[in-house]
Amino acid sequence: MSAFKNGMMFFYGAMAGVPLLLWLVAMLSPYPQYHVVRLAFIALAAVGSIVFGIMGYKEVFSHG
Amino acid sequence: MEKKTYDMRGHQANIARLFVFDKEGFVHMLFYRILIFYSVVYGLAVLVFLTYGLSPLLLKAMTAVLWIFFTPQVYETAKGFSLIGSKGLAFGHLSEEYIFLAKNKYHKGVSIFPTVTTVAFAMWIIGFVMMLLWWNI
Repeated sequence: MSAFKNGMMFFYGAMAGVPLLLWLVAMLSPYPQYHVVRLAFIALAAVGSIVFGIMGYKEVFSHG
Repeated sequence: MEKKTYDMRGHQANIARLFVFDKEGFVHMLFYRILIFYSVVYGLAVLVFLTYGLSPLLLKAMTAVLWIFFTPQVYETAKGFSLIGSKGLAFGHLSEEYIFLAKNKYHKGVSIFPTVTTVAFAMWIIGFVMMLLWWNI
């Protein structure tokens, strides 16, 4: 798939992964035993969010 | 070759170009363009929260805003997978007679796809409510 060649798979991964990770953090929030899991998920979501924004900017505004 | 920023609908810089004939697309585009910037701000805020500390309530409010901006994207992604899986019969803007005939003759199982999309989107909305109530890291 050409999305792997030009790095777009990171964008698609973030597009799907960030909402999924946020949703998982919300679902696990009532359970204190999952505190570390939530920290890991939100850290991944943060990285994904930044990747999503930067690649989105390149695609939409600066056109690669 | 540089990507073209205009087509028959007008220039990409014209934010209102989809509004007349594709309001769903307009909302998706608008929320996505805002999200491009806000998602970087949010990601940095989370990293600050994890390293130096930040008010948990502020992070929760920022998460709520991100959740709202991501909503059209989540819906369109779910819809996109439905379109692909059903070969255009779900959400495909095809004639209803064609959809009826194609489903009966060739693709009997495709009725599941709109249901899956609705369930996925409902989980996102329910997740938003639960996030407002329970979000805690």
